[in-house]
Amino acid sequence: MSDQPLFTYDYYEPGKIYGVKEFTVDEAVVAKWRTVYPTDNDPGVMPGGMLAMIVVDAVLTYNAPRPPGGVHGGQTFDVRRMPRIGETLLTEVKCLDKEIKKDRKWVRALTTTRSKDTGEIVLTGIMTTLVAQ
Amino acid sequence: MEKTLKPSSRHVDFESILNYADVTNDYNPVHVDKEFAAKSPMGGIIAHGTMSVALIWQALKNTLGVEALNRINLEIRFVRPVRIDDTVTGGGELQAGSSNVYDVWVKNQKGEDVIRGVATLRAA
Repeated sequence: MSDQPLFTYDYYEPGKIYGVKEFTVDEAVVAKWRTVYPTDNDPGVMPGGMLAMIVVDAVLTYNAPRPPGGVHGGQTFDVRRMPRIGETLLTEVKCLDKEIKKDRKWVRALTTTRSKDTGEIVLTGIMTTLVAQ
Repeated sequence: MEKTLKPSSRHVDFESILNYADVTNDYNPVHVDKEFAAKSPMGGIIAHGTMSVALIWQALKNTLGVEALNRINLEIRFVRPVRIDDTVTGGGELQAGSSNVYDVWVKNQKGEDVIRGVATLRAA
């Protein structure tokens, strides 16, 4: 168990940058992905589905520990170019905004993923979450 | 431009949900803890939403080619949960009058939408 307080709705600060998560698209992680999606097997190409993995990994790293039971409500992906296998990426996690609608607590996180080597943006995304508390 | 995306399907069982949790390191109990999920507003285990989004990416790649993925803007909403033993299919259709915007979806075996969205292919 973590000693940190739960990352509840009140804890989100629109505009705040929570951190930058490093993620390497190495052969091992792609092989692990392919155990779930065996047809994602284009040589040298990172499966498109893994884009969500990069975003979620970063958000869950910094907006944590989360109260259990939250639900992913929506997602955008703006792909500038697909990450390459072997590439290391840096994903910045920022709270875009938050809103209570019909007693439901919604938070949007903006993620910006860059190549560690070049600084080039490869992906931006907005992850919309219905938080549990 | 193809008018219809080649559909991509998969069956979702509890083992595949657990495997996806392991791959993505997302162990939200609504996905992996049957007891917790049963007592939650979801009323039982639901698959990770992004597990089904992968089917849209597959449909886009299988139709437009892997290079097209470098130019995609995809916006989706999760509109219905995916349950254990659902079979889900991702696909889409070119919007009427458009040459580069697809309405995309993932449907369950009942034909119900579980994801709705739009994929826009930027010019090369």
